[in-house]
Amino acid sequence: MGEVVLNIEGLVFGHKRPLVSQAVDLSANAGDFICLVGRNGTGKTTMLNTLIGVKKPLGGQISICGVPLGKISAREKSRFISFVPSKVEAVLNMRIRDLIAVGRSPYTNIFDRRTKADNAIIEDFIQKFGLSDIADSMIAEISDGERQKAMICRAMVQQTPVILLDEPTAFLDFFAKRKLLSDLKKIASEENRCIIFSCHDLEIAAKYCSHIWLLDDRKLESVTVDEFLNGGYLSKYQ
Amino acid sequence: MNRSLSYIIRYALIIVALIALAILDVCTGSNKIPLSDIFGYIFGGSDLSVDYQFTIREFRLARLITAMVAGAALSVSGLLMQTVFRNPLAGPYVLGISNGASLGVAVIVLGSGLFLPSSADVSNLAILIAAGVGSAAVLMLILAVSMRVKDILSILIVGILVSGVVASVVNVMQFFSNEVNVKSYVVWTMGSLDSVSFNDSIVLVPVCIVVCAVLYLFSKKLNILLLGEQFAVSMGMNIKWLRVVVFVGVSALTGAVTAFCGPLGFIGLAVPHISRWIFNTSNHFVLIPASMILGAAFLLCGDILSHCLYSQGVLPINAVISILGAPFIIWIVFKNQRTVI
Repeated sequence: MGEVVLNIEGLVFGHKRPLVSQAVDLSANAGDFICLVGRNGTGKTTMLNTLIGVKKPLGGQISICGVPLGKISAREKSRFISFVPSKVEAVLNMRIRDLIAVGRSPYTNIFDRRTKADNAIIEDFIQKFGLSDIADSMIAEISDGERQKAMICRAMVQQTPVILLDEPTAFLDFFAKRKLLSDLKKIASEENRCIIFSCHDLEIAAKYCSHIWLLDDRKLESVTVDEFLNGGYLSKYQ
Repeated sequence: MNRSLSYIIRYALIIVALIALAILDVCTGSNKIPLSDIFGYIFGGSDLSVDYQFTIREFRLARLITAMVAGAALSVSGLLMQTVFRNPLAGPYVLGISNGASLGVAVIVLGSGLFLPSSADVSNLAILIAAGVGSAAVLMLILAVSMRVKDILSILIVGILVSGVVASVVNVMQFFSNEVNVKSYVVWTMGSLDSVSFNDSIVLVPVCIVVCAVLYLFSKKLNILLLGEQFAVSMGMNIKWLRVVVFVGVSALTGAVTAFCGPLGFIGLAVPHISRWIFNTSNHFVLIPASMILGAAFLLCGDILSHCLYSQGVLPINAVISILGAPFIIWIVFKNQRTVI
């Protein structure tokens, strides 16, 4: 069990009206691999957007490694939490290596000059993710799965303690989904990061995640995989 | 091959092309002026008559500088609009800024018949001011919308609607105006690089360079924005603020160019695609300077052709650049289907 990296205290999220009836108190540790589960319309996306700062929380605070996110600048925040969208635009004229290098931008100057150390980190993760062969390909030339992997590699390069993924499995086939989640689980424990992802493929997700944040009945609570599978949630909506 | 080396080679090639076109451009015109006289004027070496000097300065050099600055400004504007709207069809005119300028000019040119005796001529300065006021008014409207609206598509829709309304207002004014004024307004909309004086063209240069330099400083943010707005916010960016900066910059560039040269279409849409195709990248640190150089070269081509194709006078520049550019762009889009931004 790693140390606590993410601490959510009294968080209320929503648009103008709160989406939860009671404030959310949750914490997550380094090495955790958490699946955010909720039916359409329960506020999963709003919750993710609140964590990455697209939405301001209606109340409460989120802190990472003891630093309250509301108190620091947006740029500093991007050194604590990184985000992987569910789909990357394939239309960009960009090489995979450049896409991954975007992960260093919270640390570079206005001209995006990378130091030797920055480049070493980038090359290191390209190797670790087995992307060396396609690092010089254009984004349009590789598959959705490889793009997804490159974006996750980009989040690793950003070196944030917390990584959020919005439906990472949405555009992948059955086998690619399983491969992705097992890879992510390995990354979470080996690199000691806290990874949180939203997902609709509950059966696959339950196999790999360490626990589940369940958003249901206007409540968000953390449950173990066993509690989730046996707790009546799955039968409730049949 | 090393990537920065290949960029340097490509830059060198397009700069050489630009210089060649610039030399060709100063050699074209209704009178024959030898190149040696033009260089003689620039470097002050030879003793030319005052009239002759005037011709070189006010016709050839003014046109050359105007074409280069206008081409560069519109191309950078188009590039940034395509990025901010993340739409390959966007251009400097989607916000309706130049329609605002057109309205200002229409009020002056078409309305002059109502308020002034018919013999009075509308001065260039009045047209400039009218265009400036018109584009600033539309910019204010767009900024007010973009501070309230989160979705970029809504801003696009507002821009297109504003353009439509303004164009209709101009139509109504044309309907009630006399033939002479309608003709002079229509000629203005065809665009012209010839009506700018040397001193005015010199004013355009620093405006363009300063605005482009400021926008260049936002290249890193623009690169991240290409990956999506939600992602950009997660990387610590303030999207609304970036939009405001880009809109103000683009308005300054297109507003200034439109005021001096009329609404020059097509360049702002086409040149960013040519730059991406030549440099094979989406990186704004590369594309902004590339678009400036290529935009200047593109408009010089148009200018040279509009002077050469018709021996009795100058063809409207807008028509020439569209006829010249469209097939080229279609070809690039076909070659490059998968990567458009």
